[in-house]
Amino acid sequence: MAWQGEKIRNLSNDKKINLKTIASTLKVSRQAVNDWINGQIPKGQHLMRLSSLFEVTPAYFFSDDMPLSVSVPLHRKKGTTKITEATKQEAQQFAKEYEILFKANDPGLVPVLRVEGIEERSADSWAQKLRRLAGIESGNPIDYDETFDLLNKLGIVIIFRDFPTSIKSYAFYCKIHNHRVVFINNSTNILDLIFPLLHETVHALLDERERSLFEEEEETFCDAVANHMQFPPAYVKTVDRAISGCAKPVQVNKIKDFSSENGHAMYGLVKLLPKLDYKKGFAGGDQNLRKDYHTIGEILFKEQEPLDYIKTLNTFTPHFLEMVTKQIDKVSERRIGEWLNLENIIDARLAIDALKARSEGS
Amino acid sequence: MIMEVLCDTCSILMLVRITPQMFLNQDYQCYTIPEVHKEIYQTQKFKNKYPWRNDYKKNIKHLVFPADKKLLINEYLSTINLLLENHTINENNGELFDLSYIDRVVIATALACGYKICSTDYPLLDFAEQQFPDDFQGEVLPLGLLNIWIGKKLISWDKELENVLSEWKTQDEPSQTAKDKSTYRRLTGKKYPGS
Repeated sequence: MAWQGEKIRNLSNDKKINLKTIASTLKVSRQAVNDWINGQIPKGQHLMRLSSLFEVTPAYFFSDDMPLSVSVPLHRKKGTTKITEATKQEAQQFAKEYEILFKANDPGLVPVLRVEGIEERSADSWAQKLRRLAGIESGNPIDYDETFDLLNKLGIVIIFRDFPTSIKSYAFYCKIHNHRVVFINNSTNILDLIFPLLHETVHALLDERERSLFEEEEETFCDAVANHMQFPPAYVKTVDRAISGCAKPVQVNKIKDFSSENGHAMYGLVKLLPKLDYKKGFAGGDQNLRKDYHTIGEILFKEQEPLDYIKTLNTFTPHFLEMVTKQIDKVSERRIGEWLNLENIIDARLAIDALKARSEGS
Repeated sequence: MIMEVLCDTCSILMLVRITPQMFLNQDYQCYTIPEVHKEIYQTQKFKNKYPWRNDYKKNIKHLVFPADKKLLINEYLSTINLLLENHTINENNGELFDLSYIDRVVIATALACGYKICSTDYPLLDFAEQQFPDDFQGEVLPLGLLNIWIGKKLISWDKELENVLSEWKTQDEPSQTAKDKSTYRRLTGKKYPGS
């Protein structure tokens, strides 16, 4: 929301309160009121008294536009959950907590992906290029280490947070002061995390192009690339061959074995199997599989020790940690604690010491 | 003299063992808010540093606000949010202010209730002082508050209390002002043992 000082003049005309009266009521100089009209934001106490004088809220003097420094977040839907405008706004507010962190750091030149075409049929070539970039030689599904590595290679900043219950998604993407940022919900099971992360990665890469897709089309495209990346055709073919001709319970068990061995949910794979004529009924199997895997938050806070936490965080999100380290002496401990999502587990000051020790050691 | 003080987390953790009655006896005129109480007790992060904190659970009472006061606190809070969203600069160091949610609520409550703030969080204090110079009743650091209590004879100083004070240094608590240290020396006849 940007300051709109001219609204003071408009109100003063409407309510027939001249600038001299405003100045004397607020006990400031006439020049101060002029400065406000011309763009200077008043001090907090004057803003409140100005609002009281004109019987409006302080927010009235600011534009309704959200700042361009934080783009509207893009979410991968979680199951049947709807992503509403309210969800997006909530996520944007959430992302704004990091505005100062990103404003203080220049993103520099960001890696981009040179692939022609952003139609669904190009999804496979995007996926192949990204898998090569991630250094995946085999035809196996991408695992979560490789996925984080890919995002880091692309210069995408990853932030782990406990999302408020109103933001019902595994992850979302937005741009903050030209940094490409993916927020990850700490309560997400590793099994469910890879696909949305890949999905958000494609959003980030599309952000470096002139946008030519409508929102729905972009979502479909991101899904298609993420599908091809996570489940390369050779892998899908292998599974398809393995279950071919088997009875239904055997098919289910075999798919479960493949999923368990390769660390992905059954649901994503099942959708791609051409000969499988029943696509539903795997939710229970996925629930059971999840029990064998941790959430990303559990992995991060496994030891509950500041040094371990910072070390683990550094393996997943080195760019973010580097930025936070630069801000250690500039913002409060509590703020660092919020940025690093330490609440409930680790004392911010101990985490800061660990960050400093890591920084001095490197 | 009325000097009502809103205590932030750090100041409570520094003072409550010295003065367990600080929120129970009206003479101390100390208050805190639910958010700070939650930070101290409903989270685990202080469990290693302040293992004794659960012993003082009954001592730290937080305020409960009537509707009209809540309204005023929220007015201050939304104004603070607007100012921070618009990149307010700290005149003391040229840095952008970036305050946590609890910092903001502490300031809003102190302004709405006319309390001083007892904290060692300098950006928080700078923001209140710079943006609300007439409304803000001022700040007092933990040692300053302790001096007031000693001066008013609300607490009698002894070796045991001094030992607790010595722990401020080992616990790496923020340093106190030279003026407060010298007042402490004058009042107790002893050198301030912390940093």
